[in-house]
Amino acid sequence: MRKKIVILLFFIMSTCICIPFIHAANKAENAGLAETVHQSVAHEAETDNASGHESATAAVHHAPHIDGKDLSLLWALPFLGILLSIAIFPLLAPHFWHHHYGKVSLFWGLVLFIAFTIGFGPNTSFFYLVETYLGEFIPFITLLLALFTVAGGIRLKGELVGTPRLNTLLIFIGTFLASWMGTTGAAMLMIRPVIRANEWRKHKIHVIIFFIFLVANIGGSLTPLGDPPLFLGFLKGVKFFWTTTHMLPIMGVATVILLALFFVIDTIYYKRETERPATLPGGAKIAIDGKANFILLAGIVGAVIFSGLWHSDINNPADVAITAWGTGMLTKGTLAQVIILLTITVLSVKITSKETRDGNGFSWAPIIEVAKLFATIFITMVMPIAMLKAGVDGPLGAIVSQVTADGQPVNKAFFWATGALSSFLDNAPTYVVFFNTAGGNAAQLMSELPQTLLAISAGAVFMGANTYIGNAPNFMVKSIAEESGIPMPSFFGYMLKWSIPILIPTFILLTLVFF
Amino acid sequence: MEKKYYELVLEGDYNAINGLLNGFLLGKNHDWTFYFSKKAGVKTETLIEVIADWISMKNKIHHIIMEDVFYKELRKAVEKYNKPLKIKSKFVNLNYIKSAKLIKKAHLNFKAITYGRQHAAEMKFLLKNIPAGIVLQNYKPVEKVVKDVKGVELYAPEHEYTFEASGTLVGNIGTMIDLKQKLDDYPLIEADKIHLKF
Repeated sequence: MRKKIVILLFFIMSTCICIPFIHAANKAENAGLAETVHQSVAHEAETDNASGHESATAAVHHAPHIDGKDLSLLWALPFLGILLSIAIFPLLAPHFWHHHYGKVSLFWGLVLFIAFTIGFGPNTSFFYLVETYLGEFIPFITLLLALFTVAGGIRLKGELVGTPRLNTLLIFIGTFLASWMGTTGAAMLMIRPVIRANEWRKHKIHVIIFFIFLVANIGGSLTPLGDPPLFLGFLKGVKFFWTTTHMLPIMGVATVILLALFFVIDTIYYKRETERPATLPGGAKIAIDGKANFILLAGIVGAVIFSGLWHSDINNPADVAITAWGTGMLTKGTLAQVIILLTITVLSVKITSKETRDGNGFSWAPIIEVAKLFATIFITMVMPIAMLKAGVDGPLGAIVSQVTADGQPVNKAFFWATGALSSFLDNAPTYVVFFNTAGGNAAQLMSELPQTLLAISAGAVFMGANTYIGNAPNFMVKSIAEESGIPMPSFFGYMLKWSIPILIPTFILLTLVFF
Repeated sequence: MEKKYYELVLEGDYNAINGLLNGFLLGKNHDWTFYFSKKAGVKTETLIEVIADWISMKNKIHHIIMEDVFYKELRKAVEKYNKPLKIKSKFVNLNYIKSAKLIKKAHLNFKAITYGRQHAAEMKFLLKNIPAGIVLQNYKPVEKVVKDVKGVELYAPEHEYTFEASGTLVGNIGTMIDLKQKLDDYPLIEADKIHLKF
């Protein structure tokens, strides 16, 4: 009975929320702006010019297309709804969120999809659904699945003693690994050894805080594997090693500053410890379980690089693996990447012992969460991106004009705007929003506006550390630390005592140096 | 027989007072106990005292918890030193003792939370084995187990196990100060300041 009432309420709410969208869509359609089934010769030529690709053929096809210029702002509501749900529910209603986050996500997804289908027609809505899931969501989730499975199959064991030197070294190793196995993978691999090493210490909260700063966030900035925003950039055409070469200086400076500060703080706290463990450094034995997963990790890196080099041009019919509505949906390179990553995932499951995974506290829950939430994020993101692509004249023109001056991007503004939003909303969609605000053309951003792309990338990745909700691994690390008896600060305690006094001055310094 | 304690309010330089008290103990060859309230986590200061403390550049108000025998011997000695000789020492003077009140009882409120079973067991043990002279009142332990937690989660974290407790510890101030130090060493228990009743 209760279930029936919930379902009924769900449909009533969906209908109520859909009505304004349908109204907005009808208005747009009446104005002749909604669905324009257009000859995509012009569209493709435009894309090719902008991206610098030379299209082999400009096939005439009938891809539905929405023009973001005259869309109502209401269309951005489901996107905001899912992002705010992710940000607010874990803090205000964690129990409800834990049990119903999938339904909440489905709700926002359905609100958008139903309204979109009614407003723009099933042809357009299914086109965007297929394009989004095939072209972006599936490559995205298979990468995260592979990284998560492989990283969860590696376990660092050993009797370590948390001295300032060792703690700094462990955080440094985690920071380095984060770029190659993802912030979640590196955090999962390193957090338990770090906690075990510091079990004897009374003052250890700061160790976990700096671990969140560096391993769970800043460390993931060197490759598209490091953090989801950068992989979305890669899917949109940012070269794999562009990220590495351009992010290295800013990431290096941030890491050196924070590690040096950590060493000083940890040394001060270490000196306050009244009891020291019997075995001090020297007798530490370190062992790694699941070493074969390192080979698989190299396979993931190879698969992603390969997908960017082999048959990777979606505008070239020879490179396209799957076509729908006469439009390339998935390149052969990306399809190969998906197949390789799924194979690696299965291999990792097969070769890793249960003991190793149990030692890491491994479960499939985190990846299921990501899948359920990002399935909605990706589809709801279509509308704000269309609005942003319309530039200063579009419905989100206010945002665009805030980060541009005389038509040129203001890099400082991009860094802080991307960062400020990434601090409270998930950083992956935030990155995409500002990527599109800056024009959305990867080739142009890499060649003509590299500092803007750098500002967006650094803002999205670095400032996820500003709050617990800024990046998914933050919560995971907090949760593991709390279960190990470390009294982590509250949401505001984390900000007031740690992230604002330490990270904000660091980011100001980075702004002065790099932007 | 339970030790009795006085709370003294002294005005003067911290080092001078500390030196006087420690010197007195050395001279008398006794190990009577005394605590500076602020350091021991005893709530003392009124708003006026805080303001006076801020305004004052030199002399500060110090609250000191002292064994009654120590206080009585000290008072006797200072009176004896001052009166017959009719001298006004800068450091040994009754005027520096602003007040002295016998402490009847002390209490502190605490709350605790943990998400690990092992830490919960430690906490329960600690609260079950409180020292003689201290009574645990209004003890409210709550244990919660969420069965469908699937390990560590990213976006919807929930702890499989939670132990929460709050309560009030009431009893002798000397024992309470020692217990508070023990609780403060245990990071999962948040102990408030000790409140005194005269």
